[in-house]
Parts: sequence; structure tokens; C-alpha cells
Amino acid sequence: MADQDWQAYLEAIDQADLTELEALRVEVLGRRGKLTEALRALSQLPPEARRESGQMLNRTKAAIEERLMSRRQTLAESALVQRLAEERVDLTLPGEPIALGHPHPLAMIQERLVSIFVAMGFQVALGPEVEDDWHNFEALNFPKDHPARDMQDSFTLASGGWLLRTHTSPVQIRAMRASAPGPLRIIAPGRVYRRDDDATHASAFHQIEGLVVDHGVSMAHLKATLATFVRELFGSKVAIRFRPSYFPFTEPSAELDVGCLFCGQKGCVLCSETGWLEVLGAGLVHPNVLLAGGYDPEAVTGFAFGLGIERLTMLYYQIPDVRILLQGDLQFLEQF
Amino acid sequence: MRVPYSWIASYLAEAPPAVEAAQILSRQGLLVEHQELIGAGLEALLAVEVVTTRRLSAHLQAAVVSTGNETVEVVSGAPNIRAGSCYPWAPPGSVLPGGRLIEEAVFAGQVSAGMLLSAQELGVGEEADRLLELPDGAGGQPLAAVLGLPETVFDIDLTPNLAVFCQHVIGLAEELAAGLGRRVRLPLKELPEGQRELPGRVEPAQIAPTYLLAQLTGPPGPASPLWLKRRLWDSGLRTHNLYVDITNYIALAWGQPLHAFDLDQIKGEVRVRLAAAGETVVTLDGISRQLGPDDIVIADDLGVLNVAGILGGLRGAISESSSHVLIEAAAFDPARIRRSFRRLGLPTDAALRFQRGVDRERSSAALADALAILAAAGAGPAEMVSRREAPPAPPRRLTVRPERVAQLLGYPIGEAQMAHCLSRLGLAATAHSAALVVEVPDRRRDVATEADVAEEVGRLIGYDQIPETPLPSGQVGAAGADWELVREVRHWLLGMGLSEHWGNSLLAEREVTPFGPAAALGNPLSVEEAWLRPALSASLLKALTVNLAFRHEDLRLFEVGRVFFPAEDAVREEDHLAALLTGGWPRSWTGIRRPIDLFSGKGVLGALADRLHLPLTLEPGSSHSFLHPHRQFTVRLGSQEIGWLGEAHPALLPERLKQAVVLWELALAPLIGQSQVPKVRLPSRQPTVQRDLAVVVPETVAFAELEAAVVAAAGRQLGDVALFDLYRGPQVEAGHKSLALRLTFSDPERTLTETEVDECLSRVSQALARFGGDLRRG
Ligand SMILES: [Zn+2]
Repeated sequence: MADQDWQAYLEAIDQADLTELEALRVEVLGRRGKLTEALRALSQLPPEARRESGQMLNRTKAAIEERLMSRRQTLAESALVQRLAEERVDLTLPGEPIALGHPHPLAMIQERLVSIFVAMGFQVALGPEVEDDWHNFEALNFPKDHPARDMQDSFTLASGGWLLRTHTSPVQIRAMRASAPGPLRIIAPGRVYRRDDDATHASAFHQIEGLVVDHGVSMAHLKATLATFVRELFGSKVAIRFRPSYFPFTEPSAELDVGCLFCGQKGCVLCSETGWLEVLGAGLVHPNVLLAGGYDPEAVTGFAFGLGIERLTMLYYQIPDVRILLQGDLQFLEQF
Repeated sequence: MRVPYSWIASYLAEAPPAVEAAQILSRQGLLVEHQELIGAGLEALLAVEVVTTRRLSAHLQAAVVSTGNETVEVVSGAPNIRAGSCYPWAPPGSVLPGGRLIEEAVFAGQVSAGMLLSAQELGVGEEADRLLELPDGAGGQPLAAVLGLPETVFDIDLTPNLAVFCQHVIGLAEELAAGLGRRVRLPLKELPEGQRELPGRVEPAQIAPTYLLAQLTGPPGPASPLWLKRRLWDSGLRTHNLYVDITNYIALAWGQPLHAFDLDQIKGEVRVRLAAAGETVVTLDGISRQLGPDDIVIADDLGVLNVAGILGGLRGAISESSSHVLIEAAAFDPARIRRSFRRLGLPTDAALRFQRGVDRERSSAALADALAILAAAGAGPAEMVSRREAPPAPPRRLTVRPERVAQLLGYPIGEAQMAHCLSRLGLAATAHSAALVVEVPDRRRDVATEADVAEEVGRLIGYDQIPETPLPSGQVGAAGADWELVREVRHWLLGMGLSEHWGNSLLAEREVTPFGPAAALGNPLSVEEAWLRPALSASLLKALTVNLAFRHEDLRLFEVGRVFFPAEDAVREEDHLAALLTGGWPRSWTGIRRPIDLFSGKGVLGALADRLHLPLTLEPGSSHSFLHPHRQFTVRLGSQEIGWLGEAHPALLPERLKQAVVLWELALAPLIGQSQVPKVRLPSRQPTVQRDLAVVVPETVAFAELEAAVVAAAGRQLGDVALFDLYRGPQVEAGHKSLALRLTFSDPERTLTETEVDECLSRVSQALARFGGDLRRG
């Protein structure tokens, strides 16, 4: 066969599909293929011609094999491109839903507060929700018949003279009586109840109480602790204001305000145009309370603070109605 | 408490601007929550004098008024328009507070050049039915100057301790003065001459330590002077006539409630006594009140006039025709006042002031101020009818240690600076050896201890001046094992697709009774919140109802919270963990919805126990009437019963709900500290062999029995047995079920041969044959 005939094969290979390619390979390189036969026929030639033809045929064979391989690769590549094109999907379909639950906003805020105080060396203390008058009022320096009791109207139980605690403060008394005369650094998260006949309040809500008792505890310690907490919670740039206030169980008493987070202290509805949001109440533990807790008020001093978890939660998520929090409405919970 | 700042400022020789005063007061604990500017933008308005009037119709008059430089004609429908009097006038083109534009208008054919105004139209008071009467001679002056506008009204949040001495304008002025380091100027006048104490006027004596009565004669129903009306309006009160207004004014100014009587309706001497049992009085509100021997009353020969210090009676009350008037200033026994107003349900302003106790040293000064104002308005002169005055209480002496106060505040303050702070607050302090002796006047009943003095010093220094001193470190914080457990439970259950519920612990009786004995409230606000829940499941079922109302029928909720059980004369509390599952897992376009049934609940609880490494077991059967009688389990930790799991009894569910509601509830306390450390083995590198087999057995055979038989028969080379299909249907005999099991064999040391696996399987087959099982190998 002449050179141009082999050349025709090379061109045919470049046009072939996978089936034709195999047919061409058999036709040229198969056991009875044209090139195989030609190589075999070399032995009939005189040595001079044999060498020349041999070289030519071997070059041709290498060229054809190379061309076959490259064609095969080209075809494989385009087949892959084709297949991938067929695997085109509607990319806008939604992802498969993963059935994760939704945490409760109060749980998240409560956990955040607990974590911050635990990191500051506080221990969590819990107490009963059904209390007696002594722990809930008397020991906290709310004497019987005192006007301060009107601020916290309590639910009583039908029998036994018990009441539902109106604040987490009785945990202070229980923790002190368990630790006196040793030092104490606790936080007490928990549920409290007030008999507040007002549609904007819930009868059950949540507070976190903090208490530190030790030698030489002062208002300066109180300020540092609460300022650290507030900066941890709202960021280091938050404006903080301490001002005098009143609670029966602390003296001196203070309230802590933070610069309104919503208006940059320009005044808005959420801060009643004042630029400040009330966050927590605090003070040095009243000597009468230390006494009720089993401490000698001359030997130790302490500070206490309390804040409402609902209020913080409502501020944080801008929830307008407190009553939605305990309803378990999935449409509400699913947003968290 | 609403108070116009100019009133506070009137007691200071030199007062700072309102904004600065608000900052000083807030810093001292008198939080100025709001500052309202009233009467701003009135520059175009004038006071005008009416020259003549001319009636246009039954209701309208035309008035020629003098604006100072010219006269114009204005139409008005007001009843009190009179020649010679002055009124506010808005010229055409001016704008009233609130944005109303005044234009020239025509009434009854007469062009009105602008408008004469009432207090309400000016935005300075509630008086709407008459023109605001201005002082004589005010005509032609700018209205703002005549009325002292604009005015800044403070809204102050008074804490109960400060209310003892600050719930009046003079108290606020004293606080402001203390902050500025100045003194107030009080209108201190002498009471007129008159009778001393009438024997037996106050009986028993301790019910009214102070009882002052002044008698005077004036015009019937005089109007109060404009400045007094303005102060009352700005304080949020209405005005009536001078005799009534003066009592409100003095209560606000001095904190001393006054009462005015119409002397013509009183027979004989006015006395202070305790009510007789069954005695009644008709109070100002027209209600007849039953009184008892605990109530202090003011009475005359005809009977009770007033419930003393709480509410006046109808007889003896001031009317528009009253001109002979008795003015009372008293101090009543605070404890009795408190008991009486609570029993009668009458927490009036006077009652609240008397229960705190009025400043006995200032009762006479307050009355003298009232009489001076009355006299200036033409009512008087007055003479004293009763002059019973408690002797001034000697100041209480309180010894404080300056270094202790400095330690409490954490602020380095010396004795001299401390004494200076206290004296500014009217608490004279003198040094005695290492201590300060503080003289506390009667009005500061809130200052009783060293800690109180520390607060006073702190208030005056300013809490912002106290440094931030971190607590000593070295204490290790800890949330505690119970808190950590709840954290973990929450974490895993959220991951399993359950959402967290916080339900109210107060529920209705019908919601708690299915779950056994519960504790009831003695004073519930509503029947819906009258009982303490004995199970979290009661709250979860309530949440189910809420969600069903919004057509949410797929619900997977859990709750961690407190439950309450009545115990002997007490209540026992436990923290529980509970879950409610109903409906299906989320449906998506990729597959079908998986309905929730009993085994979903079992799966969730099982997975939780697995994650927490707790040896929980579910024992079929328990005896809870609120659960499906044949679909309930006892949950045990080891051998201890700690809860239950089951399908809610249909009787607890809305009738239209056709799907199962799975509930489980556990006590948390037994789980604390019970997590087992898992025994870790290295994974086997030997190949495993799996064989499936299906067995058809009667319905009565429990899976657990089959499983136990398989494990026992197969021997130690059985790694795992898993149920992967349960079938009932045409191919299976009635009353029977087909269970498909996948058995996994392996040996840790070597590769198992086919023969060994077959031997195991035949032992399993023989064991299953005992259940009447028809066996097919796969
Ligand atoms: Zn704001």
C-alpha cells in the first residue's frame, strides 16, 4: 500500500465515532489487519528493501496508534461533557429540610447570662418556686404591713400558708444560710410569679439574681462586676449609667441603665425617648438581710443584683408582647 | 410625679436651666423620665383687654378688644367674656400649639379678627368651656410672658424611699439645692392668732398628733389665681375653685394634705375620734361607707364628716356657694390610715401621704402658706380654731463610721467631705472621736442605719464617681451538674428536631386533673391560671391546643421545667423533662412524610439516652389513665422508675384530632451524674458476614422475645441483630406477622467460614421454630 493510503486511514480515524474507531483499528492493526499483514509480508522482501519498508511501516504503525489513542480520548472527553450536560438540574429547587428543633428565646438569653457569670467565677444556685413568707419577704427586709409589699402582690396556695415566690431573691437567703460564714458568689436563674392584674404582664416570668458575700465587698466591686457583664452582653462600646434607686433588700441601692441600643441614645419609642434602657437593679446587701442569711454584717458585706429575662429577651429580639413567650406557638418559635 | 420645673425653681434663689436640673436630680436617684416642653411657639399671641361686647346670637358675642396699639373685633362663644377683662388672643395667621392655623372667619355675619382662647386651646390646661382669664392689666403684653411660658414639665419616677421626703415640690427643690450646694428659700409665715387646743377635740390623742384648723370667710366659690391654676394644670390636676384648689396645691407643694370644709354645714365642734361600730358616712363620690372602730373620723354633733386623711364626706364639702370655710392640716396615725384605706379600697393621694407620715415640723408652715395665698385672693383673714401641734420631735442621732461608709462605697472619702455632703442634704454631721454623729430630721424617716447614710453620701457624690474595682479572681465558676445536664438534653433534643417550649406553670383545673393530684392557688386571678401543674405534659398539651387552633398539626416539642405535687401541708417540687410528638416529620419534595407514632417517641428517648450514655430502659406497660391503656411504657433508670412514655389517651385530645399524640416525661434529678463513660473497643479488622432471615410468627409473639432467642442461640459470633421489616398482609396468614431480621456475624480474631455462619443460622432457626415460626432465609 502506498503512503497516501495510510494517510487516508489517519484521516478516517479523525472522523470516526467509538464503534467506527474499533472497526478501523481491527482493519489496520488487527491480527489480520492491513498493517499487520504488511509487516508480516516484509520477510518476503530482499534485505535492503526490507529495512527501508520496515522503517516506513513501523513509523506508520506508531502514527496510527497515536492517532487512535488521541481520537479515543477526544471522544471520551466529549462523551463526559455530554453526560454532564444531561445531568443539568433545576438549581432553584429548595434544599432538603433537616428536621432541627428551635430553641426557646428565653432559654438562649438565660444561657447567655449564666455563661457570662460562670466565666466570672459565679456558681449557679436554684431554689423552690413555692416559698414561705419569711424567705420571700420577711428575711429580705419586707416587714409585714410594709408598703413595699404592695409592689409585689403574690399568689398564695390554697392550703398551708405558702406563696409563689415573687422574685428570685429568696434564693439569696437559702444560699447564704447554706454558706455562712463562708464567702459566696452565686447566680440564681428561675421562674417567679406576680399577681399583677394587667394585660401587659404575664403572671409567670423569669429573673436572674446574683449575690456576692465576702470581706470588704463594696459598691465599686458591684460596679465593676455589672459593667463587665453589660459590656460582655451588649459590646464594649455600650454606654452605662448607674443611678441611685430603692429595693428593700439592698442599701445603698442602684439601677443600671445602658445607652439605648436602638437609637444611639437619640431617643426612640423603645427607650421612651430617654436614650436609656433600664437593665437591672442592684445594691449592697442590706444588713438585715445578711443577718437573716446567718452572717455578721460587721464581718462581711455583699452585693446583689437582679434582672428580668423577659425584658432582655424582648429588647434583644424586639418582641412586642410578653404573652407570646409562654404560649408555645410554633409560628413564633420557628423564628429562632 | 409630674411637676413644672418653674415651680421647683421658684424655691431657689438662682436655678439652673431645666436640662441641667434634670441631670442633677436623676443622678441623685430622682429619675426625670421625661421632660415635656409646653406652650412653646406662642410668640405671635397676645394678651388683649376687652373694651366692649355686643351680642350676635344666643351663643355668640362680638368683642372689641385692645391689643395695645389697635383695636380689633373678635367673635367668641365663650360664656365668661366681659368688658375690662383680659384674655389670650391669636391674631389671624398665627398657629396654635397642635398646629391649628387661625384665619379671619365670619360668624353670624360678623368678621372675626382671629380668636380668643381657652386654656385647652392653648395647650396649657384642661379648661375648655371658657376663655382663660388673664390678670387685669395684662392687655397688650406677649402672652408667653403673661403665662410664664414655655414651661418644662418634669415627669419624675420616685422610688418609695425618696417619696418619704420628696413627693412634693419643696422636697424636690431641696434635693436640687443639695445637688447644687445651696439652700432653698421657703415661704415661711406665721399662723394667725386663735384658740389653742379644745379639750377632747382629738380622742384618743395619738390618732392625730397634729390637728390644725383655721376658719375664714371669703367670696363664694372664688376662682384661683392664674399662676396657681397653671401649676396645678402642669402637675396634671384639674382646677375647681380656690378653696378646693388650695388643698391640692399645698399637698403638692409641701406634701401636707389639707381638707376644706363648708362651715355652714357643720353643727357644733369639729372633733377627731374613732368611728363607732356600724357608723356610716356618704363620701364625696356619693358612696355610703360602713366604718368601724379602727377608722379615724372627723365628726361634728350630727355625725361623721370625713374618713380622716382618706376621703371627705358629702356633708361639709365645699361647693360653689361656700364662703365660710374651715381648713384642716393634720398628721394622722400612719398605721391606722394604712389599714383603713386598704380595707375601704381608697388609696387616695392624701391616704398615701398620711400612711408614709407627713413632716410634722412643717404642717403649720404649710397651713400658713395656704392662708397667705387665700388672703391674697381675698379670702380671709383667717383665725385658728384648733392649734394642736405635736411637739417637734428631737432629731434622731445616728453614729456612723466614716471609714466604714468609705469602704461600703469603695470610694476614698474622708470625714470632712462626708460631713459636708450630709449637711447639704440637711443632715447635720459633727465629728466625735472616730465617728460622725448625724442629726436626722423627722422628715428623713428613711435614714435609719449606717448603710442609709452611705447611700445618702453616694447619691450626693454621684454613683458615676465610684470607681470600678474588679472582684478578686481565683473563684472557679460552675453551672453545676444539673444545669449541665439540661444543657446537654436541650442540645440533643434540638438536634433531633424537637423545639423547646416554656409553658406557664399555672393552668386550669381541667388541664391538670388528668395528671393526678395538683396544688391549687388560694387567690388566682382567673380560672385559667388557678392550679400548679403536676406534669409538664399538661403544659405541652396546652401548647398542642394553641397550635391546633392555628392549624399546625405537626408538632415536636420538649420542655424542661418545674412541676408541683401536693404533699402533706406543703408542696413538693421536681424538675422534669417532657416531650410531645404528633403529626409527621417535615414533608419535602424529595420524599414522603413520615408519620409520628409511638415508636417515634421511643426512638427519640432512646437516642437521647444513647447520646447521654444513660442506662434507660422502657418497660412495656404502666398504669397511667391519661395514656392509651395498651400503648404505654414505664421508663426506668437501672431499676428505678423515673417516668413514662406513651400515646395520650384520646379522651385528653380534641375529638377532631385523628393522629396519635406521643408524650413522655421523666424526672431530671435521678439522671444527674448517671452518664456512663462508654467502654471503647478498637474496630474489628476481620470481615463481617450478613445474613437476612424472615420469620412468620403469631401476633402474640413479642419482638423482644424473638430477639432474645436469636441472641441466645447464635452465640458470641453474632455481632448485631436488627429488625428491618415488619409485614402483615395477604402473603401472611391471618393473626400472624412477618419480621425480617438482619444478622451480622464476625469474629474478632479471624475470618469466619461459610460453614461456621451456617451452623449459627441453623441454631437460630431451631430456636425460632419454638415460636411456631415459618422461616425463610435470604
Ligand atoms: Zn432609644
